[in-house]
Amino acid sequence: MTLWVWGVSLFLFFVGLAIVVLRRQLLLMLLGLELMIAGTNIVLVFYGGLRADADILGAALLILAVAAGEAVVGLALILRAYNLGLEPDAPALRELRG
Amino acid sequence: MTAPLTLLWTAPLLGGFLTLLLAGGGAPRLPRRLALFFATALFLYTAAMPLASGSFNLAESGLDLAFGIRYSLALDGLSYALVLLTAFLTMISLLGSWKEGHSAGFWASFLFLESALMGVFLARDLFLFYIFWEASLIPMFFIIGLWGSANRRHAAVKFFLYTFGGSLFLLLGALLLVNERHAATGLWSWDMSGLRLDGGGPLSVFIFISMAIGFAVKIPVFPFHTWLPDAHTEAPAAGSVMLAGVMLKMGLYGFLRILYPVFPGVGARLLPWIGGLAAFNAIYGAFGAMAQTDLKRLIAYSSVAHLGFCLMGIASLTPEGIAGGSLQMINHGLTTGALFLMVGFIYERSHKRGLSDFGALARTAPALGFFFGLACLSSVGVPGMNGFVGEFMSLAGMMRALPVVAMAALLGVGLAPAYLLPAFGKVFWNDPGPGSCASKVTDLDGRERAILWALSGLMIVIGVYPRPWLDFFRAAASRLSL
Amino acid sequence: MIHAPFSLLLVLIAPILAIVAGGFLYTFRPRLVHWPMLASCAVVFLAALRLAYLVSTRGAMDVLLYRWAATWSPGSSWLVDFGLRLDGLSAMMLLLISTVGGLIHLYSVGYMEEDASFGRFFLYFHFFYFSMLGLVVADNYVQMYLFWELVGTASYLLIGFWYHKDTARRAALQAFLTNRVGDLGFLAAVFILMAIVGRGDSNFTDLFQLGASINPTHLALVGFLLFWAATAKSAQFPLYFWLPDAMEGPTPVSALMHAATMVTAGIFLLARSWPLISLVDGLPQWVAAVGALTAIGSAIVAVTKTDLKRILAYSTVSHLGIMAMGIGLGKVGGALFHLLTHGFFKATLFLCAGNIAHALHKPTADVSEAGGLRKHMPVTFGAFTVAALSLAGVFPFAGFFSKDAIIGAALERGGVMAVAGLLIAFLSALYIFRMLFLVFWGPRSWQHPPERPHEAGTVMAAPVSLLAAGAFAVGMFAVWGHRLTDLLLRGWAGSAESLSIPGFEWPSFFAGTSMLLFGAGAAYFLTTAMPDWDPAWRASRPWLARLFETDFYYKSFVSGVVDAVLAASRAIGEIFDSRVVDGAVEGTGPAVRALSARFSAAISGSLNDYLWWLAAGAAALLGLALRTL
Repeated sequence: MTLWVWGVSLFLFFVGLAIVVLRRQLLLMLLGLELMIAGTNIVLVFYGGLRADADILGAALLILAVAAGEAVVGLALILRAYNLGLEPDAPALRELRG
Repeated sequence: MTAPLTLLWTAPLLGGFLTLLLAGGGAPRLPRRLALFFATALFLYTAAMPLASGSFNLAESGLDLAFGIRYSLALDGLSYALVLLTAFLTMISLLGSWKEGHSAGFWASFLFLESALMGVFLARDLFLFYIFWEASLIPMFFIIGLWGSANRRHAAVKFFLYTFGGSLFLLLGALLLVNERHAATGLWSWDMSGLRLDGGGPLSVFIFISMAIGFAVKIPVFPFHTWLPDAHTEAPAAGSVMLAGVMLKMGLYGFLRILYPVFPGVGARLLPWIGGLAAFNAIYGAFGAMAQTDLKRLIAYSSVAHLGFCLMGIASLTPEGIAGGSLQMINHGLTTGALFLMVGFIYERSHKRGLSDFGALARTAPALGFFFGLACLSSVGVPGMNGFVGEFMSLAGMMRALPVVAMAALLGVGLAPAYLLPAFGKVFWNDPGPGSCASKVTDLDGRERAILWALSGLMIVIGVYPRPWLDFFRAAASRLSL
Repeated sequence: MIHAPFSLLLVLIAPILAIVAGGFLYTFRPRLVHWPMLASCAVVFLAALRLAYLVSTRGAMDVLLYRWAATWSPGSSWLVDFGLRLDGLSAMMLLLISTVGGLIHLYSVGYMEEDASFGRFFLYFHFFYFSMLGLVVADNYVQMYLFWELVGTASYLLIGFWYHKDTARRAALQAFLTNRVGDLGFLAAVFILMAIVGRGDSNFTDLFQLGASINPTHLALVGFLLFWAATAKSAQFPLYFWLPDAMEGPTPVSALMHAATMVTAGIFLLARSWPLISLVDGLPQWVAAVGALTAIGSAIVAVTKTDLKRILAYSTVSHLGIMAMGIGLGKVGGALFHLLTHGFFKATLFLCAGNIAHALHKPTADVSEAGGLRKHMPVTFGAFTVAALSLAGVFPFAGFFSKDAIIGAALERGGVMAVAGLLIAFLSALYIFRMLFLVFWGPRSWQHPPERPHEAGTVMAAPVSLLAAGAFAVGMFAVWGHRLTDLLLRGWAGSAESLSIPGFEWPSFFAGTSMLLFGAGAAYFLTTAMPDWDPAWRASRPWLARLFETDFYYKSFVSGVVDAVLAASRAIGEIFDSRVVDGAVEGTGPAVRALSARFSAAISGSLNDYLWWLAAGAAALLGLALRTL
């Protein structure tokens, strides 16, 4: 059981990471982020249930909320960029270059 | 009043906020009136303080904060002299820029500055001292950067970054010092009076030098002096008065209050170096001043020279040197304050301050000529005026400590008239050249005369009878001398 | 409470009150400013008489006025007291200053009448007078230095009084700075003495008692530094050059400066310090040598000058040289005596020059512009002649007795000094008779002044006449019954022998008078018999004219030194400070920016790159965490 949970969790996490690092469309990158978060959360929920620890479950809940908030802000930013006529692609947005 | 010393720095802070809050709303003159009211009241309060209690030694019980930091304020002769000077010069500078149509922020800045300076001279906790020390930069940054002349931005940033950078050395030294104390006693304490490292080990020397650099930037000592001419030149007249009159003294105060009491051994060991550097300052400042063509820059360089004398007296670690050097701090505040104010008056009328922009002002503005000449003589160190007393005693002290340095510094005494009197001659005696703005410079009005009478009167009184004024520094002189 | 004779306090209080009152009057009625000053002069004169009497009956006294500065530390105290010293020396100086100074004040009322800055003049002038009074009654070196500098400051204001003139501004600055160079010597000497005493300052009486117990090296240093200070104030080589230029001020200022205040301060300092100076091996010889050199050099230059006041100025330098020589020869009494008589005759001569310039409506006059004034200005002529004879040392004029005392000492010493003494006697007669002949006899050349030259008014003529009377009689009065020696001996800390004034001695009388006759004859020959000689040599030998014009190229050397200092200041202030020191400061901004440009290359702006970095960092941290597990 533990092995399965860790396997799924790590799979989701690294797929997410690969998407985030390799893909350039902002929407997909956001998706990747969510995958990473979900992957981590699986382990948390599993151990929370195993140990019957409310604190861990609370933390998992908090992460869900943060992930939701993050998705909202991220989508809003992407929409804003789109509305401004910018391509919602990472390479196009290079304002941060030093 | 149960907390008379807390009042000294909170009252101007409060005054500053009130000035800002009550600005706007149909009473354009209110801010400056309010600011002047606070400054004057505070000056009177400060002046009356020893009269009421019979002594200027005063301490507040204090309050323990976190990490061994303690809110403790105290007053002694040395602090009192500088507190009085701060209160007096704040009042004078506000009065001196009375007619300049500045916004409420200008007037409030001076009160904020006064608050921070009071804190510096009152604090008896190293951490508290450092907080006030840094806080004083902020209002001065705005005074220079917002209300200065053409190149004000650059000067303000340079002033801030330079002195802030210097303060970091001070902070480094302070942290090491507190750490060292903890290692020795097992106590975390930032208390100034309890900190004392008698040994002259390499760490003590390092801490001493680190903090000394922090103070030296403020004084300023060569080669850390180049922020001063820029800041002075670009600052508004009242800002220059506060900068030269009080802020430069913070560095010397640091030597007197922290460095020498905490490191008696190191101070004595580094005497030749500090004394030599101070004497060099006196000569170098004079040479620098001789080459200037801008009246304000010239006075700024003369400050470098004068502060060299102050530091030399203090560094001599003889009673007469310490007392003389400390008195010279006050003297320099009065004399250079008066000079900067008068350059401000000239600038206000003509928007020029080059030496060759004027001529024969002694004829068209005789009262200005009289006061300017008097202040020049005081700055030159003509006996009978305050400048001489400090210079003389500083040199006398160094003469006993290290005659070679004192003899070298005599060159600085000799050069003082060589930059001030030609400058005086060019502005007040020479025939006005083509394109001169001399005709725009009208004579002083009653307000300006009253200010200058107050300053000049003090210059002469101190010069003729310096002994009561030396009493301020009696305790410091006898405690610190070898 | 201060136990001092009231008249001694008055010497300082009266001028202070007068200056304060004058300052108030100046704002309301500038034309009345001279009244408090004149009153103060009268009071000081009476006080000086009373003090001279007190000293001769009761002897010297030291009065403590107040403790000027003091500091304390456990085990030692450091203090500077201010007090008054009344002895024969200060009494004599007080008499000289109050008499000559008072009369010049009176003269100035007439002379400055038409000047727009009448009130300002009297304020400065009386301040000058006050400073000198303070100097001579000073009780210790610090206090003396204080007034010494005030004298210099007052002279700066007065030489630059007519500041609209470029030459006046320069002369004022030159005077102040040159004196400052000398003052540094004084200041250094004061510091060394204070270090020797060890508890700050000490009054003269106590200090001189230490005398021989002081380390000889320190004492020698002090002696030479004090002499250095004296060379500036009393215009001795190498710091004499400010004095001839200082005649740019109004004539009464020159008169006061040359006769009673300022230049006498240096000689007074040497006399006051004689108990120390005489202890230093070789120093008196130096003083004598420098004095002789100055006296001869400036007398030669005086012969070649044509401006009335300039001739007199070089003559003053020369006479101060004679006084220094006298002191160096150990004849302090003689030197002080000459100081006294010189005060009278030089004041007379300057005021006469002022009368002439006033009559010609000029600030100063050239001998070529004067000429033949004998008949038009009889009083001036008479006074000038008396003073000139006194200066030249004609028996029984005052100058004879005092000069004779010094020349006698020089002859006694023999060798170079004797030759120098005789040469000086010859040259003084030469330049002063040349001046006398040119101004009052020579061809009249003032065809075109607005009106005929006229005699000065009573307010100007009366003081001149009184001073001339002094220039005649003071010598006899002082020598008769050894009055001056007796007075000076009161409170004198040196040897009594150094104060002896011979009075009249045949050998020096013959030597001095024959030299005088030679000089007068030569002057007559050059001015009257060969009137064209003077312009002729100037035209035919320009190098010679240049040689005298530059004081044997010494002035060129001095201006070279000044240029070097200015160049150094420019090198430091304009180049080194702004480029090197400040350059390093201003350079930090661009340097930081350049450095940041290097690092910012890594910040590509691509989100994916950042995330790669993030992942790599996280992996590294994770690895680290796993290793520690």
